[in-house]
Amino acid sequence: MKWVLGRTFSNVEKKLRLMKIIIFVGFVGSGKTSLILSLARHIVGDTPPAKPKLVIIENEIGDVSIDDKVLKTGGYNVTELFGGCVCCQLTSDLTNSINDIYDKYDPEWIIIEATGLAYPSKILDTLQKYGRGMTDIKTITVVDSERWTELIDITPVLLEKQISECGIALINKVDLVSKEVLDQVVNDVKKINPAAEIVKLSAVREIDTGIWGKAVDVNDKK
Amino acid sequence: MIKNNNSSGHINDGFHAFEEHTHNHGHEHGEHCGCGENACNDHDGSHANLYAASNEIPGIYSDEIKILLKKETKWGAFTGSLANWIEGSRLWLRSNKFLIGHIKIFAAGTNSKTLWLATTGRSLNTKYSPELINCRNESLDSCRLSMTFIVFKIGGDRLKKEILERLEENIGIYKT
Repeated sequence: MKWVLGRTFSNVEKKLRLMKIIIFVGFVGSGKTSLILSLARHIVGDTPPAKPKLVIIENEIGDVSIDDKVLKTGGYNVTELFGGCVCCQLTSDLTNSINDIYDKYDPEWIIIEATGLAYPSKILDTLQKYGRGMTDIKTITVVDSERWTELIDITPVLLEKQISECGIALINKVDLVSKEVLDQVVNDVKKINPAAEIVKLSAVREIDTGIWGKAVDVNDKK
Repeated sequence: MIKNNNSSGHINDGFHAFEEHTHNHGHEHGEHCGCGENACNDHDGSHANLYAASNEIPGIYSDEIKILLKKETKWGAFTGSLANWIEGSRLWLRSNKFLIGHIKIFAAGTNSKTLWLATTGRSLNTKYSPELINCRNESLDSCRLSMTFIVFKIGGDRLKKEILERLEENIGIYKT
């Protein structure tokens, strides 16, 4: 009886810890994967531990997955959700993946990299309706400052929806644009989503750990 | 997965064909027959809440193929050939006013030697796996090549044709 109680308590204790979720959205080529690699290094350190502290869920456009290969090369635990029908994948497959990860790995963090054509709200709705074991879901949209003017002409609806639905806007590739262009991008993003927290950075440079601490409250690097 | 050529005659590449689509046959949940529709739990039929405007959907060519090189080549030279292939494709796309969303290439040889190249139409980024960084003088005669081309204002069929023609010119024979 004592053993049974002990085991039951252990299971309850294990499941009391809830997973923190970070959803990365942003146009194709905006730098989502590179920024996730940086954030993943910040969360788990250079050597991923035996028990995953972080699991990355990849949802890519196309028949083959490439970003997951890049992330796996870095030693990270990656679950693939192929592109295709996001209304299917991101309701049933995403829910199943999240719940499987919770049951099998119980990580502290899950990062979801959406396709470059996805909106945060659809994913957020799915997680809130069907996901288990989660707390503190953050939505991040990566903005490509280098191509902003070009992209907002070609895909205005997509970009505006991606930005209007995020909590944090990471304005990437700041090393590739002038101050005037960067100011314009920041102003445009603020107009689309005045409530979003805006962070300017460059994925190809070493990202100040304070940025991740401030943006997503990741301060507990081990 | 959904292929570029489908019986309903529109280019889909894994995404829906939106307002114009007439859906006159059934699917199992999650089935992708290539028509561009399927049966989902929360499918409302309009897709307006899922993607942006229908004219914002790109052409996509995504595939994993085996490459047999014309002759045994060192990794360094092979990287150059891949770069030339991407550059030729990039120039052709830009000259025809197509907008490159993202081009991503992942080449995998033996013993965990891998190479990643990507461009958004501006500069070309290249990354080597740790196993390859100091071994670029080693030779290879074949590899597995994963690629995804996401380009706006072009259809998937034409994109695939142009990409593969340039691949054969620059690299060698491919097998799907």
